[in-house]
Amino acid sequence: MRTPLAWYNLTHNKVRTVVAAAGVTFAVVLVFTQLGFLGSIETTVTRFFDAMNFDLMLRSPKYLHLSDTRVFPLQRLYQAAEVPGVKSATPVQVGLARWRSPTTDRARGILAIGIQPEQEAFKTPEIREKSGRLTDQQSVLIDRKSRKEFGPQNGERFSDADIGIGAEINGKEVRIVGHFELGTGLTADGCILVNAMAFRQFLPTRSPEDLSFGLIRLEDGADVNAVAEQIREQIRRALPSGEVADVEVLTLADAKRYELTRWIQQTSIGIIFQLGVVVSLMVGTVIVFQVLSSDVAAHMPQYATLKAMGYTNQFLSGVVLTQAVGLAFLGFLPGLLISELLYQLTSYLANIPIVMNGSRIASVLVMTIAMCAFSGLGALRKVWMADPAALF
Amino acid sequence: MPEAPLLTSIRKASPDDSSTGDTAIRVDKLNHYYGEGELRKQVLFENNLEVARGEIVIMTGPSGSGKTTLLTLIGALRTVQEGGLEVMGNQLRGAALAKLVRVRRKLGFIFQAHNLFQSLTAFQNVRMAAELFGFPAERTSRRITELLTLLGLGHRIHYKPDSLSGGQKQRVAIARALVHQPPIILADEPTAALDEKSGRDVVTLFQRFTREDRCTIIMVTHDNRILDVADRIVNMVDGRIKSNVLVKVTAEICEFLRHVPLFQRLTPGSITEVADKVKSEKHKAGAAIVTQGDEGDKFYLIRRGAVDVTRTEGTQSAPLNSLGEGAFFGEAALLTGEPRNATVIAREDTEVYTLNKEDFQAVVAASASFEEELRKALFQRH
Repeated sequence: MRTPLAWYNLTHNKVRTVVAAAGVTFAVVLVFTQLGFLGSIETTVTRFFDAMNFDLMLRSPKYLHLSDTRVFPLQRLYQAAEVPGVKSATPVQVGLARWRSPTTDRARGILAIGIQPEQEAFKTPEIREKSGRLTDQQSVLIDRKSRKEFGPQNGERFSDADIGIGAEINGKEVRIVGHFELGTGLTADGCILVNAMAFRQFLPTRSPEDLSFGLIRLEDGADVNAVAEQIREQIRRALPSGEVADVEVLTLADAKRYELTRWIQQTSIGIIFQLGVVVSLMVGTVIVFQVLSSDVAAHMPQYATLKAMGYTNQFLSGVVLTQAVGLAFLGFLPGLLISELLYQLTSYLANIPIVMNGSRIASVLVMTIAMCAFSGLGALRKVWMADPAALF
Repeated sequence: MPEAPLLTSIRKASPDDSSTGDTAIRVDKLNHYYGEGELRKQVLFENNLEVARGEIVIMTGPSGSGKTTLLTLIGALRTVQEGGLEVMGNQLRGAALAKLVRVRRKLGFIFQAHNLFQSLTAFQNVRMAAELFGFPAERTSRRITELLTLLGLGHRIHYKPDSLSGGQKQRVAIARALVHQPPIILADEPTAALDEKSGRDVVTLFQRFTREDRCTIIMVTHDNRILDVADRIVNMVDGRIKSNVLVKVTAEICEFLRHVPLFQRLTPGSITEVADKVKSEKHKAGAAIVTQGDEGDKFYLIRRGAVDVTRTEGTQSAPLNSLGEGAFFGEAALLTGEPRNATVIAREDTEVYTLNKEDFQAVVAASASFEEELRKALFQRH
C-alpha cells in the first residue's frame, strides 16, 4: 500500500490543518447563508401562488407584483368559464390598504385579499376552513406572518388572543375573526383576508367590474395547455378585431417563473446573493491557497527530494490536490452543521422560511471541492518548480 | 570466504544493469553553463571521468569548483548541455525528462540536509523511496527494519523526525538512499552531521554495498576521517577535474618515493602531491627513453629495471653511467632549459615514473630542500 502522504501531512500539522479547515468552514457557512436567503426569497415570492387553488390563472398583462396587480375586466372570467373543461372560475381581488394597529394606533400598509368565502380560492385547508368566518364586511382574517408592527396583542404574533379585537382599515372599523398563515413575501409586511364585499368597501376606487386574478380550475383529465389555448382563443374572439388581449392566461409554473424572474433577476436581490456566494468562495479560495502554498513552501526540499528519487510531478500534484480535497471535506462537515443551526436560528428570529435541502448540500459540496481544488492548483505551481538540483 | 549478505535483498538483478558491463559512469568532454545570453557562464570545462562499478569515489575541491554541478548532472537532476554523460548505460545527453526520472530511480541520493517529511515516521520516510518500485511489501519492510537497525536506529524506527537527533535524521536519510539497492549512490557530505563512530559505521556500510551489490558511490566530502575508504579521489578546481587518482596506485607510489633518497627530506604532504602527479611509463629493453639534443620535457624516476646513459660528442659515443631502481634522470634539461645532454636507453624492461616540466618546477619551487638535494646530486654527477 502506498504511504498516504497527503493524509499524514494533514494530520501532522494539526494547527495549520485546523486553520485551513476553519477557513473552508467559514466560506461554506457564508455560501449556505447566501443560498439560504436566496432560497427563502424564492419560496417567499412564490408562496402566494402555491397557496392559491388554480390550474390556470387570469390576470392583467400589466401585472407587476402582489401589491400592484393591475386589473382585467370581470367579463373575461365569464368568457373563460364557458370554455369546455373548465370546472370553476373564481375571482380574487388583491390591493394595498392602510391598517391601523389596534395596540399602537399607528397606520401601516397591508395587503388585502378579497375572496368569495364559499369558492375555495386557496388550497390551504386552514384558510378554506376559516374563510367561512368572513360573513360580513367587518370581519377580517389576519396572517400570522404579519409583522408585529401591525399590533398583535402579545406584541409578537397574531394569535387567538387577537380574535374579537377591533382595528381600522382605510378608516373603516373591522374586527379580527381569526388568523391564518400565508406570508406575502417581499411586497408587503402583512396580509389580511376579507370577503369581496368588504374589499370593495375598503378600496372603493376599484371598479367592481375589474379583477386582480381569476382562478380557473379544470375538470379532471382536462389538458391544461389545451384549455389555456382555448381560453385565449375564446377571449380573442370576444375582442374587437385588432385589439390586444387585456388578460393573460398562466399555469402555476408560469406564474411562479414570472415571480422568480421579477424578484431574483430583475431586482438586485439575485445578483446580491449570487455575488455573496462568489465572494464567499473567493475568501475560501484565498484562505485555502494561503495554507496550502505555505504548506508546500515548507515542504519544498522534501518534494524536491521525492523528485530526485524519481517521483513524477503528477504524483506530487496528486498529493497536494488530495490535501486540498481533504481540507474541503474537513471544512464542509462542520460548515454544514453550523449552517443548519443558523438556518433554524434565522427562521425563528426573522420569521422567514429558510430550510436546508439535498440539492443545495450537494451543490455547496461541489463548490467547496472546486474551491479547494482551485486553491490546490495555485499551490501546485510551486511544487512543479521544486528543483531537485538545488538540493546538493 | 564470502561474507553473508548484510541485508534482505529486494531488487532482482535487472538485465540492463548487467549489460552495462563494468562502467557505472562515463563522463565525456562534459561542459556546462549557467545563465543565459550575456550572463552565460561556463562552470564545467571539458571534463572526462570514468567510474567503474563497485568503486567508491570521493570528490574534493573548493566550493564553486563545479563538483556539485557534476554531481547533479550525474544524478540526472540537470539537463546535459554539451558533451556526453552515461549513467548505468543510459546516455543522458538529450534525454527527455521521463528518461531522466527513470535514471533517477537507479540512484540513491544523500543530501547534506536530511529533507525528511516531518509528518512521516523514520520507517515511512524510508518506505517512500521503495514504493516507486512495487517490491514485495513484506521483504521491503524487513529490509527497512534491517537497514535502520544497522544504522543504529533499531529503537527509533517508528519515531517521527521531530524526536530524532540531527545525526539520527541523517542516518534515516541514508537508509532512504540505500533501501532500493541503487546501483549508484550520490552523496553530499553524508557524514558531516555524524559523530566519528556513526560516520565510520556509515562508510563501512558503503563498503559492504560496493562489495555485495557492486554499488558505485560518489561522495563529495571534506571529512578527512573517511578519505581512506576511497578507491578514487577526484579533485576539481575551477570547473576542471584537476586530478583523478586511483588511491591504491598513489599509495604505492608514495611508499616508493619515501625510500628514494632524493625525496627523503620532503614532507609526507609534498610526497603525496608528487605521487598524485607522476605518471607511469613502461619501456622495452633497448628503447630510447631520452634522446640527446631533444628538448627536455620530463623528469624521470626509475621504478624498476635499469638504464644506460650515453653521451655523444662529435662522432664519439661514450657510455656515461648506468642507473638502477630509485635513480633519476632528465632533471638537467629542466633546470637549465638546455636540450638533453645525453641519451638514455633501457637496458632491460623498465618502468619509470615521470613528472612533466610544470609539475617538476612546481615541486622545486615549493621545496627548498628538494632543490638543494637535486643540485647536490647534479653536482656530484658531473
